[in-house]
Amino acid sequence: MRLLLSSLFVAVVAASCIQHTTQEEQESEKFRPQKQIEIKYAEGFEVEYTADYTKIVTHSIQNNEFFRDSVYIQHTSSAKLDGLKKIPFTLSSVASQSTTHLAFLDCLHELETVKGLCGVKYIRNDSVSSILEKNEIKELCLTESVQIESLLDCNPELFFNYPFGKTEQKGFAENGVQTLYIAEYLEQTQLARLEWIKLFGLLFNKVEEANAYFERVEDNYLSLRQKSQSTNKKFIMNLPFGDSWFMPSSKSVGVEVIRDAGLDYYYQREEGTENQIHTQEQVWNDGIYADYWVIIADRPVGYGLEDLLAEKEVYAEFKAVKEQQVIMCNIAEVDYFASGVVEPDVLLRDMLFHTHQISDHQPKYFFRLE
Amino acid sequence: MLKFNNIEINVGSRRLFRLDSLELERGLIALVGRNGCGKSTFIRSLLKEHGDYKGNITLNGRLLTDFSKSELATQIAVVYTRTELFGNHSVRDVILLGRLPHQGILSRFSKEDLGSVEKVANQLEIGHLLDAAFQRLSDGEKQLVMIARALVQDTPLILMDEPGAYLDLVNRVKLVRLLKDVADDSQKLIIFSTHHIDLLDQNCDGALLITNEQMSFIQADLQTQIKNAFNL
Amino acid sequence: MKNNRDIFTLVGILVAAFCLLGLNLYLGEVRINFGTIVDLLGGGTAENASWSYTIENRLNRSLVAFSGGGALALSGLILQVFFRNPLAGPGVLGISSGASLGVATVILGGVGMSSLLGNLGLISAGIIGALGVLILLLIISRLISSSITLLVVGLMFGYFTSSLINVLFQWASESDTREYVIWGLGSFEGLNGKEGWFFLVGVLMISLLTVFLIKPLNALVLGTSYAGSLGVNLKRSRLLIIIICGILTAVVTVYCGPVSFIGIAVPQIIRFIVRSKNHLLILPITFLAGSALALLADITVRLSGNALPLNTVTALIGAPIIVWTIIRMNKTGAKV
Repeated sequence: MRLLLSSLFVAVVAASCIQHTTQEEQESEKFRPQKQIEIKYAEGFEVEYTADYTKIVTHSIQNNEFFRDSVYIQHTSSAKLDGLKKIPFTLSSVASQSTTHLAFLDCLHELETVKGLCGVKYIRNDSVSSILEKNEIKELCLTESVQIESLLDCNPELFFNYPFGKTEQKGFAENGVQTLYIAEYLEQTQLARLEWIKLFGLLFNKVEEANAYFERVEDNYLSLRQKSQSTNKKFIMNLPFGDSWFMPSSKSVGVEVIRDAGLDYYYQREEGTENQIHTQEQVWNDGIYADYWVIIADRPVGYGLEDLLAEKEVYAEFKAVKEQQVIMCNIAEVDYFASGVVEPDVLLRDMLFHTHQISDHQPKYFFRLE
Repeated sequence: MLKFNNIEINVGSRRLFRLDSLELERGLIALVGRNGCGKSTFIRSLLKEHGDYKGNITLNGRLLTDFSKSELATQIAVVYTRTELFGNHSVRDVILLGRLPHQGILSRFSKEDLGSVEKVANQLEIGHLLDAAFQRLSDGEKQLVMIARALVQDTPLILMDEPGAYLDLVNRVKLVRLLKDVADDSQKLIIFSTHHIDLLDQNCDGALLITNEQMSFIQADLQTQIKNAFNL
Repeated sequence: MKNNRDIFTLVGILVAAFCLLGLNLYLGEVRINFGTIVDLLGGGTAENASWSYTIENRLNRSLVAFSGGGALALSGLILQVFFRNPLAGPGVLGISSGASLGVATVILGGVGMSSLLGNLGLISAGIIGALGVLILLLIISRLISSSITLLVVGLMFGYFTSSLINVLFQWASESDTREYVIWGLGSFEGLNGKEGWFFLVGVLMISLLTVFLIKPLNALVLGTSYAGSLGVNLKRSRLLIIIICGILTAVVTVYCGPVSFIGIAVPQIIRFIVRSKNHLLILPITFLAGSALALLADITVRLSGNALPLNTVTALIGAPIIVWTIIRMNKTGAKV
């Protein structure tokens, strides 16, 4: 009898001890310090690491309109973060103003956390849209602006948005929605843009995956770039709108990839990050001499060379058309602006293929128009 | 020239007045009656702008209904009480408009047209105003210009709807005397409506009087007869 | 004829219009010298294969500006005499707004501008919209005598149709909306190949119908009662005015977008410059002055590298003219 009672006593004490330890471990699980990331290219975000929290700051670059935003990932219960934006160790529900962000989330396999999005109908990637459909995510923007009610409805822990439309920001904060400016598009190189995946890695506690992904793509890109040779050929880009032809700035990431493939930009100018606006007649004048014509545009699915020539007769006189060097990315067929961000190595590989510098490749974004 | 037969002028369901039969030749005829008795409606009926009447009206042997708008413009000219001109026309420009019914589709005017304008302007003693801006004239001068315009239109019949209404007492008298001279010189038939009966005996060849829904024609002792008709 | 000065004005403005047309052919981001331009117009070739297209493009723009400016000025003049209001015009009275509503219905409804159905649909919709507003205006003008009130009604039509168009935005796709907004800025560009000539011929043919309005317009300055007594068939004239102004406004609005100020400002200057009161002279001079102004605006737009939208330029030129006219009218005591 006494043996039974004492065994029972020991068991109870042992059990409570065990519970106690587990609870402590659980405590430290929640607030384990973040793995750190190394930022090599990106200029638009910074991270501050302390024992209590990790602070992520996004801000404007150089001459862009000023903005600054931050969010804190809490590590310990003693962190003094009153009145600041805090998020848990790993996010479980988010919303986004841009379909581009979803590409980052897709790489990290975190699409399930998306509860609301602006422009659901514009998603072209089938695998992405099927996941979103399955989870019945909410459309946040019926017109140009974000609907507060829809946003509150999906109750995200964090809402990724653009840094313009600052008046809307106040509205979100007042309603208790935490937002973070994501401005990857302001980065001036492909690799800098891609590097934002590390920021998302921090937010979703998937730093290793993010780093692995980035390093793999970075390696690919750099080795491809090294392989490419200057062709001494020039290219023009895109299509006109009315009488104006918006030629991307020579500093834009679209131009960067094509230049990295060895082509020279016809409108290479060092000043400014704004798009250059030319009249149609100027580009027609130059198109007679340009060796390559790279088009990134929204056209009906199945758009071909005859469709291009049907738009304007004068295109038939372009050197690129005559020599069959019109390379097009039809954004109605492939989601250049979204998934292109996370696959610059594929973009570069496509261009190297079309400039006949590599042969064993199936293009994904750019196709020769025939 | 102007013949009326079994006339009944109506406005909707209301009958304004009756006229059994009448024939008018040349001369200056006054049209008198109380406000609302149908003077303006009578004028508008003659201009084919009011079609709600019974009976026949013939002009120079032809039924009024047979005339087209453009033909009628060569037969009847009109002067209204007020003129609202849209534009900075000179007096000459306004008077020239009277020649419109006689012009072709391109509305060009000839030397004769210009000569005609000068002649009529001088006749009405407004020759010195020909190059002045119409908008700047006094009411009296404007009415003289509109009468000149009606004369230049060269029609056998001229209708006037209270032409002296906005003129002062001096201009009013001058106007009626002028109309008499014009009627005598040109052998036209001029019918003008008025409320000022004191000048009629010296100047008019007759008066059309509307009382008790009846139009009658009086040729002598105009003032007395009209006064009696209205118990004045 | 008495008005030698006016004949001189007519010839002068005709020459000016043609000079501006020539200037519009010569100026551009691409430098092509005059000899080459003449060669190309005659069917020859140049050192750069795109130049023949460039000159064709510039020529089309110029033809559209010439016709469109003339058509709008002509409509404006006729409307001003008809409504007896110097501030009347296809824009102010809401007629081009009606045409815009027609265009919006087609574009925002998803039918592209370049398809054939789109083209026919646009013209029809534009004409229906323009004529609809014009007819409503006529009905209302019978009920109210004040011409200022009529202008306000016209402005209200403009606002109303703009609101309806905004409603249509809700259902339209982003690219359709953008297409409509760009159209709304106004431009003489957009016609290809020989289309510029067709546009010119079409506008001229309808404009020539105004020969039947010479006498009516001459007489209408005295008001409808006097005009009737001068032999003018008011019903027929009214109908002709609706058709001519409605179709001209609709056609120009559909192809060039809603172009403002030319319709009001040009008739103002012409009434000031031309001494003759005979519309036989006033109508063609007004047309040509509108052409010249439109060409001048197009040159300005192109020299700015397409940075300035057409309506901005026409407003910069037109608004001061209108203000000056109001002041001058106030001085002479003429009624608005």
